[in-house]
Amino acid sequence: MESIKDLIREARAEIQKAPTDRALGDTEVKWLGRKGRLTEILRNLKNLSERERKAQGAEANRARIELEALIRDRRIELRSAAAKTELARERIDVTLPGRALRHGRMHPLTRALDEIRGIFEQLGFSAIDGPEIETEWYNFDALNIPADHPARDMWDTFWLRSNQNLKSKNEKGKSGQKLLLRTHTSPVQVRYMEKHAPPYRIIVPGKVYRYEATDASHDVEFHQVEGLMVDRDISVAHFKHVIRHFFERYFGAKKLSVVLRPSFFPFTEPSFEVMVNCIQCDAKRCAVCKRTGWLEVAGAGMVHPNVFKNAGLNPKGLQGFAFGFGVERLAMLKYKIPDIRLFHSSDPRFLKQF
Amino acid sequence: MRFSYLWLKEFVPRLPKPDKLAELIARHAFEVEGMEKRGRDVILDVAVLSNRTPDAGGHIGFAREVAAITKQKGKFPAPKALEPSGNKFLSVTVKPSEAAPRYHGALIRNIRIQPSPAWLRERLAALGVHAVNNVVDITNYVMLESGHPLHAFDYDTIRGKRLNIRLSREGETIETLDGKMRVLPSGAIVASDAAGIIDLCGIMGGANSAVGPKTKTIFLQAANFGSAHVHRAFSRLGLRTDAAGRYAAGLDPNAAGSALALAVELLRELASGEVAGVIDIYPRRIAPAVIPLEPDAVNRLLGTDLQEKEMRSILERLSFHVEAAKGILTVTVPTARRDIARDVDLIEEIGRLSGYDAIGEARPVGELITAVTDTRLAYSDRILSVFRNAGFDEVRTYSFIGEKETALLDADTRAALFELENPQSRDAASLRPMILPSLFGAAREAVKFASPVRFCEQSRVFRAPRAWRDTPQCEENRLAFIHCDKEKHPAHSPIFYELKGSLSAIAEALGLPEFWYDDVPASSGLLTKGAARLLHSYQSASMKIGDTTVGVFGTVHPDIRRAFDLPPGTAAGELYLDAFETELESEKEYRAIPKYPAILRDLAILVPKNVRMTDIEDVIQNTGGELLADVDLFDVFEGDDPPVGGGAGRKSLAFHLVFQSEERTLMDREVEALMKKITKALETNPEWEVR
Repeated sequence: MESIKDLIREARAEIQKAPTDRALGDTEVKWLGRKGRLTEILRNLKNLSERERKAQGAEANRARIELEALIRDRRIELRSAAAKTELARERIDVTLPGRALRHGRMHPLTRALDEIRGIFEQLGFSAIDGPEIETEWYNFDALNIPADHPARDMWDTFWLRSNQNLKSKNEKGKSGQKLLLRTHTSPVQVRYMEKHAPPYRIIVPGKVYRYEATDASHDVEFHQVEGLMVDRDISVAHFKHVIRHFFERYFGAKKLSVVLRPSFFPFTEPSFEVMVNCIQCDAKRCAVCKRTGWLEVAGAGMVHPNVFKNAGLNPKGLQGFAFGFGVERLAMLKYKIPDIRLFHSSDPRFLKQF
Repeated sequence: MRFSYLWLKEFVPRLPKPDKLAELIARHAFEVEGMEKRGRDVILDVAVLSNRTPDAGGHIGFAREVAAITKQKGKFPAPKALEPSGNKFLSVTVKPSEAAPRYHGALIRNIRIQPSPAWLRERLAALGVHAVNNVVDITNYVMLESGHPLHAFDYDTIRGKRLNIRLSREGETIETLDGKMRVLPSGAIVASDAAGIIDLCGIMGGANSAVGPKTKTIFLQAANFGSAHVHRAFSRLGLRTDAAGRYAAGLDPNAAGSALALAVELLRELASGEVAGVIDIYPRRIAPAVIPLEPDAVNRLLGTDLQEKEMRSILERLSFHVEAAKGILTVTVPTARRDIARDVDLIEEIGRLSGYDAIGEARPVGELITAVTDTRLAYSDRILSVFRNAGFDEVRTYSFIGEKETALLDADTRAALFELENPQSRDAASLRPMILPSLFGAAREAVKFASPVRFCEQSRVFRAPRAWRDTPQCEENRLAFIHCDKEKHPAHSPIFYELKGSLSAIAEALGLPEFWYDDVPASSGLLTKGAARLLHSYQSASMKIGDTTVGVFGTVHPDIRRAFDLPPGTAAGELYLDAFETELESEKEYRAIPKYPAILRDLAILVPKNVRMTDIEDVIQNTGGELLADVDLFDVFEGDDPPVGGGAGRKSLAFHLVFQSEERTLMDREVEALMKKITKALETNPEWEVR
């Protein structure tokens, strides 16, 4: 009778050489199957003496366990090799384009408006909406801009032809008030203050209209964001803090210099022009800042007591700031868009950039 | 406004170098728009703020401002005002009195007209004024010096030796100094003599009374004219002269006196003129304003910590007179400062002269208020973002439309159109009552570069209601969308369904379970707000939430499509966002996921072509009862034949029916019974055949 050791050696060699999963299966049957050579030995144990049976039985069982383990390992080896080949056959060109999934683009102006609103909302400023068609009262008189005053010339206005339907009186009982397209978002200050009690902390994003010649930096239709913060003691010092915080966040600048320059708006006193150091040239004087190192980014001031009065409030003990800026201008600075008229473009080559 | 550095230096001797000066002016007063070297001089181009024209619009006033900024005293001319004489040389009336709050002037004889000396001509040239003759040049020079306009009449041309200062009647005419005949609006201030108008006051003199080479005697006018009248007149006439701009800003009537005195001195020197009489009609003399100022209020508004002493010193530098008593400063303001009327105006002066840069930042402290975004803004944003996710690029088009677009509108919409009184062009003469036509234009441009094009735009549209109380009622919030595909033709693969699929996905993303489609009603005017006219009559639908129509969409009408040069595969629509507001607020609520298995059955039916899918679905739904959980169309087949009985062809529709109970596992025979019931109900209609 062959020694179990020799048997194992032979089986081991055969297992290692099995070229495929199927051949390995045959090998398994040959050795461990019902009529397998090792099974045969185990079956013949009963013919041996008790002493021999004990010795050979233990050895044969160890051999069975060993062979089973060898086969298992070899099977894993063979299968993973097969799987590899299989996957290799399924190789694809990953540089081919993916299946197109159309996702629409956000307009750059909407993007800017969103960012602006987001920053102010975090500061507790509510975003408020107002009409684009305004009366002379809200657009001018209520904001302390009298008729036939040169101050009105600061806002070139589109006037609306009086329509049959519009002969009736408006809310203020002032018949015959002329209608216009709002030239700024400031009228919403008054509309809001009429309906709400202080303190105020709002911004007003919206479309405004100016009757002027268009060029790379002027359009007849553009957007403004108006801001208003009013309480008992809101001061210029507070304004400087809030506005610097805003522009730093908006332009993503760690440290931005903001300065106020004297200006004149009938609805604020004092009034300022807000300048920030040029974000494009870092004060190295580029064309964007006209080589001054500074950018005019907003108009602002402390709300004029007459505006409170015109909104039906008692100005005593109320003070705060108001500001306004052009959204297109801020978007142009941030995204380096060279011409304001591009915001009205439908050219996909422009729109797809955002 | 242009200022000569050397001229300013005559008044403020220790003037900083031009660069430094420009920086100081910018920081404390006005924007300096440019500097130009001119020989030894430097000309500063300064944007004097419009409310400061009265006091800082001339070299003297501007130099006063510079002196205050640079903390100097300065030396300013103080000419002696001319006392009115017994007036026998001219009879002047002013009516109404607000046409000329002050009418001041002098008769000057022995004038010798000749060219001005070189220094005068050069100074004018540096500031952009052409030299004419000594008299005209002197009036211009004194205007640049004092900021106050003057006008010289040739006295011998004044007929009847009378001047009536009055308001024009519409249609009156005057030939102005520049040789142009002007037709006046009503309400312009004019001076007329015995025979007619000889001066368009505050704007430009008349040709008939102009000073010429032979002039011997002049009447030099230094009047204060009503600013609103001048402003209205020059705006209507489109004639904004230097003088007109100054008058419209509201000059100080008291400044007329020193301007006249300065001019008289120069006329004596350079034109040998002698004063022969003085007129001064000044019924209501303007007195300096006296304004109480609380030092605490200054610091409270500016957020500063200034001492009362510093405040006083700033105000005094500006030539204001200050008295302090019981913690209140009483400030007397020179009449030249027409912009200073109340305490906040004084606070601005203190703020800008001490310097806004010196104000430190402070964090506002206040109530914690939650920012609440206007619902209108919030839901517009949300819908826009869902449209973007569905593949629509956002565009922004102008709110103005022209004849091409208005021609598309129905009569009702056209009647409610807002038209501009002063349009810039015929293509932009009205405010749009819908967005779609503008979007057609945008898509036409875009398909040149890409296809398909999917655009959406959110914007206001405008429509005059029959009755209104306030302007918000004239506006509506809309969202328009367009899908434009050069590869697709409506006859083969209806672009309609492509768009409809997107809209359904959008409605689902917005969480609108009650959203459904309906036929566009035949008389659709108001319901669909005119947009239906732009769409294919048999390929359009209205969108509804419950009973509310929230929009309309469809294949674009072939005529419209051709007019706008769009490809056949173009579908578009508009949503009425205001109708959505309440719908979007509904809260989501969990519904249990079914525990028992569903049973699926398919059902195919053959019906005439004109039968609508919903008609069949309704019968199935209504018959299926509670156990029928869902009906899903999965196939439509429209063969070209066979026409049945000579009628229109038939089509076959196939549905998946899902039966499910929330309480138990359904038995096959229950479902069989229901299917039989449904089939029977469908076949009540003899033309319908379940297969």
